[in-house]
Amino acid sequence: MKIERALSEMNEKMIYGELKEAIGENKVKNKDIVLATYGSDISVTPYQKPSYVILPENKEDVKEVLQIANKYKIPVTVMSGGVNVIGLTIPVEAGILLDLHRMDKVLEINTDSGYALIEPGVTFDRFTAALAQKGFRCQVSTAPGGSTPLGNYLMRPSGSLSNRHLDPILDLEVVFPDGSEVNTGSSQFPTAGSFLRYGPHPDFTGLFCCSFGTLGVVTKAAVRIYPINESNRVHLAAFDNYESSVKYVKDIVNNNIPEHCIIWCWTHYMAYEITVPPQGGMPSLPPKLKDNPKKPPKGIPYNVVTTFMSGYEESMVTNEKILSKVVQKYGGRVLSKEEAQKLSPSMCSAWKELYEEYHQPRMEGTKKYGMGRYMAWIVNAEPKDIVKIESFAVDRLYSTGAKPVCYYSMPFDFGRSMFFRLFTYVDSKDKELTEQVQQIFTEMYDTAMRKYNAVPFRYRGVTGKIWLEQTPEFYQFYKKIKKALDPNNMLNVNMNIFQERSP
Amino acid sequence: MKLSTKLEDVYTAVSKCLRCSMCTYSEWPDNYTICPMYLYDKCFAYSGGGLMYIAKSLIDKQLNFDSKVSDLLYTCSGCLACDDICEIIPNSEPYVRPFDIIRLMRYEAVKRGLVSDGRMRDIQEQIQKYEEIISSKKENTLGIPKKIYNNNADKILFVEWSFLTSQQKIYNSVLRVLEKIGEPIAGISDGGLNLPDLYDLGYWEQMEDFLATKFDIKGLKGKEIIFINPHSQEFFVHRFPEIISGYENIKSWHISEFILDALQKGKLRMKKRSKQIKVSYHDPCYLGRGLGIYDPPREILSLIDGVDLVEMERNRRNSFCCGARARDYYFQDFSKKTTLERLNEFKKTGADLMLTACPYCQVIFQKMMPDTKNIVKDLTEFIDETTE
Repeated sequence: MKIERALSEMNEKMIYGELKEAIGENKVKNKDIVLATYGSDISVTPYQKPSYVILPENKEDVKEVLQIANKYKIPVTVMSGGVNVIGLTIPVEAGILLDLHRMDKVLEINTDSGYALIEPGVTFDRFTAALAQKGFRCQVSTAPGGSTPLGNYLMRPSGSLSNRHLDPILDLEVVFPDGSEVNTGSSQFPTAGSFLRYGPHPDFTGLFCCSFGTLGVVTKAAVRIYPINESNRVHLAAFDNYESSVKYVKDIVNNNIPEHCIIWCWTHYMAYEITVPPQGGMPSLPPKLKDNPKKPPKGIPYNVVTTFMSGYEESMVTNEKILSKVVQKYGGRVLSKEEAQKLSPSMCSAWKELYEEYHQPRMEGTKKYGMGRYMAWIVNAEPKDIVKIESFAVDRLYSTGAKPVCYYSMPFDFGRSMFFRLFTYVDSKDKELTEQVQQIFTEMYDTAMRKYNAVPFRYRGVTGKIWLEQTPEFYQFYKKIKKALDPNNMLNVNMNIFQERSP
Repeated sequence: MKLSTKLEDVYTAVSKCLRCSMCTYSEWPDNYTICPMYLYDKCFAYSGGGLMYIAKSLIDKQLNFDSKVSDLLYTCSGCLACDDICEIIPNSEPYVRPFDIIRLMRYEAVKRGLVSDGRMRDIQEQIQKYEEIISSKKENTLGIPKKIYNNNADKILFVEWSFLTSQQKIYNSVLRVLEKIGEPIAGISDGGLNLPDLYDLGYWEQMEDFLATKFDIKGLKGKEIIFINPHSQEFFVHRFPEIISGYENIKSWHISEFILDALQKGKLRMKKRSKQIKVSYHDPCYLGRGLGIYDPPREILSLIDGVDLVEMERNRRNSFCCGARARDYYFQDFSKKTTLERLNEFKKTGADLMLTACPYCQVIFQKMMPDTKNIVKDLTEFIDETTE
């Protein structure tokens, strides 16, 4: 049953009145002018405006809205920050867009245990600033500072600490369509804080990670935070091939050197060197970025590996010596700060902000989005497979004519898997190339999964195909849970876990 | 932005907005909310980014260009916060800033007859009056003191005709300060036709006619223009080169820069003050974010004996708009609430005096504090009082 029918039957105005009555007029928007701004994002996802945009300010508001939605079986699409590039918060069937922006309080920073309680609308910028005041930091993603930690952390994040601390979430407060709620971590015990994710009971926190709003609405979370140590460093190493870079990061990660490390393809770090005329006008890229990404110009390292470390000053000095030794073992070389500065001053500045100041790079780093529509392809795979994936994926994307072809990659969970994000910027007016890249990405996902044992990163591919169809047993299990928690199938129907909705 | 730009031309740019909402707040770590609309109603639609999505929806015909859209466009106070912060829209074809796109949508609103007849009449009257003023123009109608007036001087004072009556106090202070400095000055006026207004409010056709037939570019070549109103200065500095082909940028001074230069060169001397005074300086949007002029007013204040400058929480790039250009078309009491937000911030400083350097700011602050008019002054009035 599509919402358009449900709403015309039920009288859209009556539901609007009920929503207003329940949580207040200022939190319920139904003017076209507001709805239109929630109908699209930068992706190619088809436009669909919601019927209502709801801006709850607390858990009670969320409960009220979910109960009304449940009563009328109205689809609910949940948004914490809305900063995503693949249409995850574009409603497919109109209904309610639950925008949690206004729930933006940092409720507690527990410096003793090392966790913070945050609401879903808290942005990275506000969170990292609040933590810095207390001498703390959190896992920071490469998304803009206006995105939300919770939105990011709930979607299998690739952040500044995912080498060692893959899962930043400890405890969640979740509200369900019937208005009930649960605390998933140790705070389920009446007097306990949020210091444990699971035990003695099952890990239900994990149930809501990567469930993309299909099972409940998270209204509060406890997330891991870390003290800012006495000293911190960004060490740089240059390699002329990806395989050596992977071997190097595995070695240093397994020897407990970095807090995090990232392998950057030269086209990516050079893309930060976009030049904008002082009086405005067309920005220009370094011309070499149009060349084959597999063949960097002379003097430009194919990969730069950034190794982020923090601790006591003495251990930093020792670690740097160790890194110099290990770099040579894999045929690389240490890249001096001066040389890196010459190669890409903007990237150096971004690394400094991310890993020495522990917050997202400023807006200057986003200039590159001016190059075109950002189109990304992301997988995780074991280290031996990721090397083969890099080789075929870069060539395949380059063959479409899209330029520049960029990537970065990092070890997750001490190198048990490698994250690989390949992307390009396509002129949004070039529909042919956009479609071609979509097509190629779809083929590449198939190849990566079939031939190289990879796992895709989001729940659906660029053409909207959901991966659950490839995991039938898991899909059935997921449906059972979904039916128990959201029997009317109203939460994030985008994910298409099951089609039917009770009449 | 070129006046020939069409709404469809900005599609690539508006399609790139990431919805990061960073256009609504100042830089890390302060993260102050500085977009007045977003502060009023924290909903993405009411932000620079939201307006980019509205432009996109209009182009895609997913939203009707109706009076509601027009009302929201004119509600925006034009504080330039989104222009100052966003790096995505200006780096996307056609390389214009978010507020340019808002101006462009206003132009579309004017073309579609979505602005009130009263407003349109005001503009027509301005143009008519301009014709009258220009045709009856005599030498030095601007009242520049004889001691410094020289029609051939390199430095020209630019005067908004309306200020001769509505902002007489500020204008007289400017003239007295210039007389104390003693440099030869010529004067030009906008003749009552407020070009920045026409541009910001979308009356581009009217402006185009004026520029094509009346504006004397050649007469300004090699001259230095002193501005009292940062809106006019920003227009001359940033807009003319975009909209008039072959326009060579002139050297411009904001009056605060000119005064500072005179103080540093010893052309203007401060009186000895016996009493300490706590002063807070409000950064006008067009002077600060528009022209990047933050230091000269503060440097002047640092040179005045007995002045203790206390900053408001949101200052310089993070300054909050006075609300003078905001309208209440879409939100009730929006303009008033914006102004009061800033005044409350000023009150928290405990300062005796608020200084600003844009006549629009002074007018709106005084209007909202009618019983305490002496608490808000223009910088030039204060300089006039404190110099010999």
